[in-house]
Amino acid sequence: MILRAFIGLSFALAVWLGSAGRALATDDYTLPFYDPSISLSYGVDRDPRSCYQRDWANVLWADCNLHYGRVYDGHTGMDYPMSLLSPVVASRDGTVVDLFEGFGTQQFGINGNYVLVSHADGRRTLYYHIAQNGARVSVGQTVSAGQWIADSGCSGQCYGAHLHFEMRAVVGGYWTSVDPIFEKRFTTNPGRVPFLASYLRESNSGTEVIKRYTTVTHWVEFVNAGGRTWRNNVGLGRVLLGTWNPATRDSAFSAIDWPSSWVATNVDQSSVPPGAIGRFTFGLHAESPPGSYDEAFNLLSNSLRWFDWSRLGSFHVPITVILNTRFGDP
Amino acid sequence: MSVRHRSAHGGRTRLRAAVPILVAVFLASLSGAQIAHADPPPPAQIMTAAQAQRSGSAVGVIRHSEQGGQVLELQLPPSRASDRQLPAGEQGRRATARYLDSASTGTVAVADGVGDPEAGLSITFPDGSQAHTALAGVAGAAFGADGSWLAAIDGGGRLWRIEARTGTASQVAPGPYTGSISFTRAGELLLVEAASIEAPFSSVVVRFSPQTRRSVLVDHEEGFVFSVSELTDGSVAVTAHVFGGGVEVRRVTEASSELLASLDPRAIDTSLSDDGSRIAYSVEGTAFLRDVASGSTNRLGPGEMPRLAHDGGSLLVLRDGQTALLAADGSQLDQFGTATVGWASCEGRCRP
Repeated sequence: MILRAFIGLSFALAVWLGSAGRALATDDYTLPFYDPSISLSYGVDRDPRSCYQRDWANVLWADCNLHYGRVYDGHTGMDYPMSLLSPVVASRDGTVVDLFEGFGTQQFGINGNYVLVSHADGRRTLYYHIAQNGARVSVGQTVSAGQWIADSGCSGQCYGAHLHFEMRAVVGGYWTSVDPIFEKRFTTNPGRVPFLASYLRESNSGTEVIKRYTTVTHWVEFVNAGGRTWRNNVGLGRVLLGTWNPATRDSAFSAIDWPSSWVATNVDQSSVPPGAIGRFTFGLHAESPPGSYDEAFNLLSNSLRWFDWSRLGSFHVPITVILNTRFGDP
Repeated sequence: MSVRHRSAHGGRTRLRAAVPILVAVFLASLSGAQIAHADPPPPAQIMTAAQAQRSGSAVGVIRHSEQGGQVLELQLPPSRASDRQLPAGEQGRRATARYLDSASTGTVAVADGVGDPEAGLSITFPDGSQAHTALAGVAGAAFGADGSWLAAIDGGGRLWRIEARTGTASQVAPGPYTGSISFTRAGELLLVEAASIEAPFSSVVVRFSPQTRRSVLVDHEEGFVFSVSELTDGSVAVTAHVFGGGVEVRRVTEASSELLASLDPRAIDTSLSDDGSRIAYSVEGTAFLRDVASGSTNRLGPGEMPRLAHDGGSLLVLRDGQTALLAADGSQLDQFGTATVGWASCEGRCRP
């Protein structure tokens, strides 16, 4: 538990340092996938001249070469290497305005498959090279930030499976690609995926000892290390603490304050922006016979995605139930 | 629909093009950065037939007279990059797509490979001699009317003029253009111009004059243009995925835009007869033939990359890594043992 808390505090510090000086807007764009280990291979070329490239760090490359990890000539989006058929997710709430999914998953050609999403701020995001029949949405459908909208592929001009993620805006009356990093639409910090949390601390990091037929209150705090704001309102995308191993398991320790037999609680605060700390407070009620137990929990963005449990420090609560003579135990 | 004129970037004078380079060289001399050249012409090489045989680059051409025209069956040297890790269907598609065009003189242009960013262009003459151009990632090419030169698009979407005899290349326009390229009878090029070559989900059709290096927008309805070709009446057939909708084929003139057919929303690889009366396409490995006048669609069975004969009476399809020649009713007329088969003098129909 101490090690878990140390890792959590270190992560929180790293997040704080990494975000220092950046004005990351709440509910802004997130990376368009779940896996925080995916890194950028090529960014937008912001110099329109042939053989001149200006990368996301504003460095000018006066040649025609590829600059792996930075930019290549004429590139209009961000390339993220992804294995075939991995989840591609909406970078922000929006509406699907166009898609095509007829080309083969690895069909090389000039044209490929894509999903195009329109957002409330007037921008659009493009998810290109997706698999054949890889769109999990339809035109006109509203999507939530972090919603799985497509399966990755390598259709079109693609020399290895990856996602071409492009942000578009109307500039001078025309739709054109813009650089989301340069515009600070999301950060270059690894891990700014929609749903990610890091364990910080809890009310009792040891074993909860509960007298049979009674309830104790437990709380746990996680750093919101993802790019999406956690909310506790009812609806799509609110963040819950649910039972784990297996998921949605009815708990023998559910208390009267649990929303359901497998949901311990919503996040306490009404809003937990990226980088902030969310607390989850819930009761643990013992009816089970005296003995040792272990309850595992994970975070869930409602109807969208379970979090990566290992990054939550494999959060679980060891419980010892003891006799309660006041209520009939011998 | 309206038509507007605009100059291609390639129309800049050499002096204007040189200014940023000179400035960059000056800045580099201050910073020590290495400056490279802007789009240098790719190297070219010529070979006799004997040299081509010895080097393993020889292209065998077998001509077949078939219903619908002359068919070329090509025996190609292996691609530089291995396709073995790809699904069999995709290997076949890449083999088929290596055939770019043939001239009325019997000269044949092929890509050294498809899906290989370094693959170039080979031109083989009837006597077996060859010209090679290291046009990186060649995406499409079409012979001019007399066969003395080709217009070709590289992997970066740039348009080049390739002299057939020598393989020497000169850049005509920076584009970016997608791989759809064909000549009109008036000697202009029909090209598809996109803002992005890697993700061309929005594109337009332009008519480009190689002489003046000016392009005219043919049709600027918002769409994702797959291919374009000239029909016998001089109109232009545009196949495009319509924004937010399905796949449509339209006949476009300077005065009008007429819907010829609305296809399956997943339709790819469309190919039209010369008069636009028939449209072949594929959906997930199945070939279809649409009769425009009646609106009826005939399912032809398994087949990818359909390529209609000029008269629309027959078509080539890729089937299990080989090529089948089908009649309009789907019956098989002939079978070829390779994937690299196409119509002679393709005029835009070697590739869907």
